[in-house]
Amino acid sequence: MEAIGLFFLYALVAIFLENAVFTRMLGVGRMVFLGTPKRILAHGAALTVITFFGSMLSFAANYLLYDYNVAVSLRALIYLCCLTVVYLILYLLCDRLPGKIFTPMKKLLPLSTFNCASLGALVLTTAQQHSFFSTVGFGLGTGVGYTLALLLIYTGRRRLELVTLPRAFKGMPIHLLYIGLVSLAIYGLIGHQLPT
Amino acid sequence: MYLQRTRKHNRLVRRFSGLFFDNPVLSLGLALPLAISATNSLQGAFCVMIGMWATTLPVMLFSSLPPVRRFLPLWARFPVYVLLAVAILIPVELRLSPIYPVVLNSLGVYFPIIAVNTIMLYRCEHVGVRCGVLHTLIDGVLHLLGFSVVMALLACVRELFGYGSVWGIPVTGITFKLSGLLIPFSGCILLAFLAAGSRYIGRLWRVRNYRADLRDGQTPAEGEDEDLDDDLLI
Repeated sequence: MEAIGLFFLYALVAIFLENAVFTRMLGVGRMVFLGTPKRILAHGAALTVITFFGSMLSFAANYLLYDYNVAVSLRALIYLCCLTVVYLILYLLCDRLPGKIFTPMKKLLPLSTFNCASLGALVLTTAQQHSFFSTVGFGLGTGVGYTLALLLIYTGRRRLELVTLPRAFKGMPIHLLYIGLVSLAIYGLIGHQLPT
Repeated sequence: MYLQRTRKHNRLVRRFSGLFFDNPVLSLGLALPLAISATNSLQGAFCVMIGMWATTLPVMLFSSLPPVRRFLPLWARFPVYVLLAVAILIPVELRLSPIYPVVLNSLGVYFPIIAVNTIMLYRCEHVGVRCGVLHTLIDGVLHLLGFSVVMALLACVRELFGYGSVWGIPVTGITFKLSGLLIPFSGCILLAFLAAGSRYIGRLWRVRNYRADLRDGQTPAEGEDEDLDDDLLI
């Protein structure tokens, strides 16, 4: 029971308090500026599945490496191998399973797997040496939080397109400004204060 | 020749694409997590730049090799690029950690994510698999130079007004410190203004050349068809 509680607690922490996009700016890329809701949901779903299963494998790998003082980059290599294994399994599944959903997912899988948000989530959870359920919960929460953040940014993008802006700010600059201000709002909402 | 200055400008844009024009961070929106969060200090930005140069160029050159282009399918290329990049990053980190231990520690998650940076993945798929080795090398160098310039500029501003120092050396004359500049959101906001500024300057330059051509009263020569002219396209 405690394990399930930890799982959901860390999932909520990853979604709201340690959001990959607004707190750490991980995964802020072209998908943020170009995605439609359908693509965002597909990309987010793929990333959530990948971070969920990737965090399980990375926890196991971290447990085996616990006694060794391993450099961060070497850990990153091992976590990327875990992500590659998950990616290959998912790719094979998408290839074998019929339907309109799985065939387009094959195109999104490489970008969903090998991006800063998924690798960053694995590095962050395993660096903090949590239990299995909290690690997996954090991995799941990172994917869900990333998807929600992208949908929030899409809503803002749609409203910004209706506003008259200086030509230099149209497109990426105003979207970055929007993300920065939302990030500032969330920073204050969480209760952080500016360092003195 | 018709629209001479505009043609010259367009040739310059094509030749130096990635450095100022089509900058990977400011125009294409690539490697934004590194540009936003790893520019708290100039030393941190320098470590990230070294990691980027060490990983991105070799992987781009690898992607332009004929056997890779011909035999490696798309679904297999991404894992190969990323694993190769992280394999190169390991000795780089081992080399840098005795020299900048505190800086690498403060970078945290932002150093290992160099292995999955979007400049590398994007340019490998757009240029590496389609063009030859030399073209890929030039493209990679220009894009990495553009990335480095943006990183250095952002890091200088944030460290100067956030810590009151540059490269860890205190700067006399800075009487105030804006600690908010050290938080990721301010990196995002600064980058937004930098992107808008570079777009404004680029457009100003382009329009100035075009208006100068129109003022000279240039018209197409007989038989010259501007629609088919590559110099008028960017």
